[in-house]
Amino acid sequence: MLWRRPGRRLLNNLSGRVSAVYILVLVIVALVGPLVISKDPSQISRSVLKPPSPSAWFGTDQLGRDQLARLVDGARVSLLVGVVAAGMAVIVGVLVGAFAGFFGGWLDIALMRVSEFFQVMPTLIVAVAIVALIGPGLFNIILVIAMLSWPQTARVTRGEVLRVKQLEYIDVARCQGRPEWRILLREVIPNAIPAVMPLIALCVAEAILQEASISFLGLGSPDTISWGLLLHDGQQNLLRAWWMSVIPGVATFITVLAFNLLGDSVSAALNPRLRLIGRVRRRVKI
Amino acid sequence: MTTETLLELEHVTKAFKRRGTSEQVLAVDQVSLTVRAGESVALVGESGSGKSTLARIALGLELPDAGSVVLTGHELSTLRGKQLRSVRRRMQPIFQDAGASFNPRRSVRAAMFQGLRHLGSDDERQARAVDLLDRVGLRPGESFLHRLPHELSGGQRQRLAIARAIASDPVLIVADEPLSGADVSVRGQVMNLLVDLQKERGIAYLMITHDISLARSFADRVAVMHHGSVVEQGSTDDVLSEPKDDYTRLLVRAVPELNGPMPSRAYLT
Repeated sequence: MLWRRPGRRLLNNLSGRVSAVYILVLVIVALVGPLVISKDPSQISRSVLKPPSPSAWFGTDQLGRDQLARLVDGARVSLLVGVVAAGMAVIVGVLVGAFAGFFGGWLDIALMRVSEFFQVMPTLIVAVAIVALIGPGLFNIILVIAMLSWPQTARVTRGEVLRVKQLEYIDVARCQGRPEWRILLREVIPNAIPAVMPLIALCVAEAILQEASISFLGLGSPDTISWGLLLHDGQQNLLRAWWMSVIPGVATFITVLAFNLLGDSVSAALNPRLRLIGRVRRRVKI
Repeated sequence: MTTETLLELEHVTKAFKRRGTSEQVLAVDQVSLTVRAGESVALVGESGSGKSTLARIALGLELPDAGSVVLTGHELSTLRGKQLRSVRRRMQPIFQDAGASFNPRRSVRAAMFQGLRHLGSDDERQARAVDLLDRVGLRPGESFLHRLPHELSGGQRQRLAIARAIASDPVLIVADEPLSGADVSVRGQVMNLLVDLQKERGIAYLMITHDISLARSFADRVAVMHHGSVVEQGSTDDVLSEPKDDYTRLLVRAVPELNGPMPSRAYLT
């Protein structure tokens, strides 16, 4: 019930609407694109390094593979990595932050030191080191990105839990004889989540960028077509075939930007002061 | 029945550390207080006198540094888990800010159901919730079930808080400034509701307030708190008509009265 109004406000906001529509289109392209495009993204041909033309809209690469087919196929991997890694990071972050904030004491100190440990690590270097160590599979990359990005969510959740847990309805729940873990799950976490919502989109953006960086450095699996891999191939033919770098680069840029704008719009839509304005407006309408 | 002791605080002491220093501030100092079945006790004192801290300790929300809290024969600090939770349910709070005492995501129905968990089925709970809402004057009860707390007025929320408090059949209600958030017309109604419920159900009240006239009209006994300790307690008439302690005298004299002489400027320190 509480979500309907922020949802509507999110779509009233121009950058929120544009980014939401773009992401929706991208998801549809990633899902049905490979079925629509007749070309096989791995099909080698003799027309090598051809610039964009009516027969190959986005040109071909050094092995004559169609860049449009590869870009669409890569969107799947980039989105998958982004969403799954961000999802894992948010779940871990919310749980860790909630436990630390709610139970406090030594548990709080221990969990926050662990999260700081992960936070101060230079992300890219560590990601590269771990991927080099455990191998370049897609799942490994997701795991590494998730492992390096949960602390941010944990900190935000902890702060919000500290605020919510001293509200009177928590005391009321205690007086009604509810066990602590239930209070945490049913009363505290649901009321702390809105503060985390904007972070989810930002986390996705970050994860997409990190996957691209890891693959760009050649540490992604060479069989998994992702935007990072396209950039990696493009960089090696930078002077001969600009389209190989520019097109996946622009796609990555716009996608990361869209997720960032979406995150900003979510946080604007959930802003309590704007919520108040919304309420007043609604009353006036009635 | 009126002689049965429900709540017994004995030599309760609680200190807080002042932020950033190692200095200790005694919020509650060696307070002893009893509430017997069916009676109303008012705990009066100015802001910062430690009365709200004492209320939180009585509710078991805060542990005292020293002293004991005994509720219906059970010492709270010795109870754990399920036992503690079931003893606690006999005592319910009503807070000053009824707005903050409801989970904003939960409907009135969900809030009421929390207090009615001892009933067998949702149908029973629903029927009881409607009865209770009707009883506190939220009529018809059905029409309130699916509203969210912020869709109610301040007075309605305070009534809802009372309905929720009596849902778990408490023997004692600890009310921390239950009326200071409400406007004058609502105060009278809520006051009457509390008194009526006491007559009907024999609920005892521990009412925390800074309002002497409220204590006078409502309470059987009064305890006066000042700087963390109880300086005087006894029957309402004795304490408020013939105060023995200097501080109580000051407090009673500071109540503005119509027709009475203007109070001289008395600084309560």
